[in-house]
Amino acid sequence: MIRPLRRAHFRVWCVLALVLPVAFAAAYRAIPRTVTSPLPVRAMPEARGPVVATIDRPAALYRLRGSAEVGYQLEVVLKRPLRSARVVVRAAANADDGDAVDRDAILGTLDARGLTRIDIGRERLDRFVLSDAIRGDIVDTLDFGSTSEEGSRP
Amino acid sequence: MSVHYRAVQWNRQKRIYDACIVGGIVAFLAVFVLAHRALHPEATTETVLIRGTATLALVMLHGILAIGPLARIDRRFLPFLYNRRHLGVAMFLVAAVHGVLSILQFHSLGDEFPLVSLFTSNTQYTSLADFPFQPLGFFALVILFFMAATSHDFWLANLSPRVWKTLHMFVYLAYALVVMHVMLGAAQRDSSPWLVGPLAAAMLGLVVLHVAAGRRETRFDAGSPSETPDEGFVDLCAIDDIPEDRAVTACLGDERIAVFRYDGKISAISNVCRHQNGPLGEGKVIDGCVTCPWHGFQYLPAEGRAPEPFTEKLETYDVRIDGDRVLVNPTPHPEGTARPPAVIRERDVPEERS
Repeated sequence: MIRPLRRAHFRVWCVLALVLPVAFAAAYRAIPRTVTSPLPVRAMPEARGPVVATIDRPAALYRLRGSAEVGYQLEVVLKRPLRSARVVVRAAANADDGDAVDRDAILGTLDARGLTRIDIGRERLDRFVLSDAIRGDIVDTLDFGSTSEEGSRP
Repeated sequence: MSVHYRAVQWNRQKRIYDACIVGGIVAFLAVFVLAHRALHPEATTETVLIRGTATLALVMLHGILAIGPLARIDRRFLPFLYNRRHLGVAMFLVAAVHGVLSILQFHSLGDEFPLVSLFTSNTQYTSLADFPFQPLGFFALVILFFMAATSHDFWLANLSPRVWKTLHMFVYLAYALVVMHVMLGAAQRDSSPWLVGPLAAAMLGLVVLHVAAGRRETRFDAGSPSETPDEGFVDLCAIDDIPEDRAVTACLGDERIAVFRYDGKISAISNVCRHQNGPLGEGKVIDGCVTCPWHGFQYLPAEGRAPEPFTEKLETYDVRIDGDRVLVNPTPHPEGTARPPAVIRERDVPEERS
């Protein structure tokens, strides 16, 4: 090899010796890592006040907690894992509420299992609809205002 | 060299070399496919072949790039250099299979023309993790194609060794593109240490080899004799420093000179073979001809030209013997200028060594 080409080879490899490891390391750092930390847990509000009404089903225990001072809360304890991918909780109007309740507003969603608390504000709501957000099916309806404190099934 | 010598033809050594290349490719792919089938039975045949040819091309590219500096550092690697171009063409063919299969698998079922889809399906050039790595491989393949297409001696002769060598230095750009093609592609989806680890080791090894060989050459050029010339002559070495039928090389002026000792004579010629700029000084004298260690091109040392019917010519230099010292005039004579060799007399060689 002639001297100019020898020099050119040497210079090219000197440049590559600097550039390649840097580019390699940058690409290596960009590799997505497997998540090893626990998945983020949805913030769960503290229980508000005493239980004012309860509906007990084979699959879940529903409680209405709170008061006008501290606000009301729907508490759901799932006894069995949900069979729907995503269950949303909406308010259903009381018989005498007229259009005062926005039926389309989603109050919250249920986790697949365990305890879920959903804040519903300072105004007490007694009727709720639990529906499968994907398939559109109603999973359960709750009526805490009935005299028996039992919800009604669809 | 005889009149029967054919510069660009098949010979037994080339056939053995090429048989080893083909056998190695088939064996590698067979082992890869079997191992992949065992470890990933869910993979389709196309996927296995894409991965197998990619891995094989990567291994071959590293081998090809390592041969040059290894041969500079250790002469035992010279046989690998002999037919390196065939290894390069084979590597291109393997890489081309990988490229074609990848384009067919990932870009042939859409609305866009596959080569258009290659460049338009992902344009996230600002993200390293989602960088469009496939165009990098495509451009590397284009470079390798031009290198394979111009690898024949026809192009070497028509472009001139200097231009041809310069053109073929683009393989280094292709190598950088291939490394990033892997790191921004396969490595982003499979961060297994079996992919990133060996690639990092091979890359660093290659860089160290080339830089070490380059430094060695640079030091050699800088450390060659530069004493005050005696009537234009430079004291190069002692007679006994040159083994019989071998040479001592030195960088005098702009280029290296090879000073050969043969048949009781000493002649100096350019160290640069006219074929591929091979280092003639690392060759030896066979049948009275200086023989290039790379591809066997031969030259008559006192005449600076290849024997008939070949036409290659080299610069020649004047040589003088002063006592037991060899003096060389670094001013070159035009290519093919015959210069009388310096004759070694009995009294020139120290008695205890003669």
